[in-house]
Amino acid sequence: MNSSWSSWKSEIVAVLKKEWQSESRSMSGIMTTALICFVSVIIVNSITWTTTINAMIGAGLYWMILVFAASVSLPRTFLQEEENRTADFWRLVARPEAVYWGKALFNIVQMLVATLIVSILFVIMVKVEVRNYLIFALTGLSGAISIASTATIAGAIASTASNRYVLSAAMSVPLLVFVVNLGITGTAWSFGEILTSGEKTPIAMFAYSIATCLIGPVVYSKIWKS
Amino acid sequence: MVEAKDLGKKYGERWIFRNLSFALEPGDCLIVTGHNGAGKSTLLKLLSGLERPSAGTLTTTISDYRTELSYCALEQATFATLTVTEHLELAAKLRGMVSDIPTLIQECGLFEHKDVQSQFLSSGLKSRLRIALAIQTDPKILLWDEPGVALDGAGKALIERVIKQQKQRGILVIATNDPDERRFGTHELELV
Repeated sequence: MNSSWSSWKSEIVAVLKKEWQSESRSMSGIMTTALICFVSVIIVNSITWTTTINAMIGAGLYWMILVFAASVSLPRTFLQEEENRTADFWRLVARPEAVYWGKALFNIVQMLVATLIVSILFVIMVKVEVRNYLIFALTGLSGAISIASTATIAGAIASTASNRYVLSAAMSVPLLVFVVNLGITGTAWSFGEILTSGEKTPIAMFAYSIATCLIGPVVYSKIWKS
Repeated sequence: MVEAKDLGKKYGERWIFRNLSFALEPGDCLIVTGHNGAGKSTLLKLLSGLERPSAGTLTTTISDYRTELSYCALEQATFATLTVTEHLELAAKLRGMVSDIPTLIQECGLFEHKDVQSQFLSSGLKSRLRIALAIQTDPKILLWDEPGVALDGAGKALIERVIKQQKQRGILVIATNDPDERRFGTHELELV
């Protein structure tokens, strides 16, 4: 058996392809995420229509929508496998790291799409002025990856528990607080709020994403057949 | 080779079974029998590595569980929106092997259903898909839980063929109470 990089790549792509095939035929995750993003921005728009909101509150609302959308859709990739009794398929034919990476990549793509939708709608519909589009985009990009990797690791760890949905949500909160704080700082800075090192938050968020992406497969392989 | 020494499994405080010891060599077919709840499926899960024993040790000579061990059970679900061919392609890629999927599909009587999503397959056809996934690698160890359930005459003939092939190739463990399947065994273990 070829255990080289090309073998790993082929296995990860196979998991990613399967996730895409399943999702494109049911559209449940994508539709749920898009709907939540859209409705959340509409609500924020309707309650702030008559007022101009400051940069910090604007950034807070933006991140609240992102986290809300992510927490509903992302952990499903692992939790659903247990619920549909398909988890044993993976355990019998795959390596845990390949399954984790395939699913994490799918979540990252899904979250990037959600972030793009939210960002465009937010800029158009909510009365906030983006002063630095580069930092706004980088914060959104790094934030999407951080949220997706965090939600993936929480979903993976909670997947074998009997109360998996509650546990997954409970685990995501403390892990996401750090990301959200950084994200709010970076986004507020891009909206014009004067904050120390606000422009450097995307770097910290990228570092956090890399850490969670590296730790995730190791943790998942430990609980793989527990 | 499969060797179990003083194997035991308990859920909570209740022992399902304990002190099971046996050794299997290539060519052996172990039939595991017992009433409902005796632990037949649980024993197969332990042997497959899907569950861990609560007591005792289990030794096998396999080096890669993905290609050398297969487990086939009615409770294994398939992916609702994937077709028969997609299931086999996915499994082959994850197992890191090249598989003659058209021949496998033909062998398992799934040719007419190869492009049908699993959610639209009957329970008998789903069983055939599970068999195809299990024999895809020509495993050294095949664990089979209630093989004949949901299968018609042609399906039973497929089981017989697979059992004969597996006995020539390696080790077979079948959990069943069906007298028709028990006749294939070289050893029998009754769980009480």
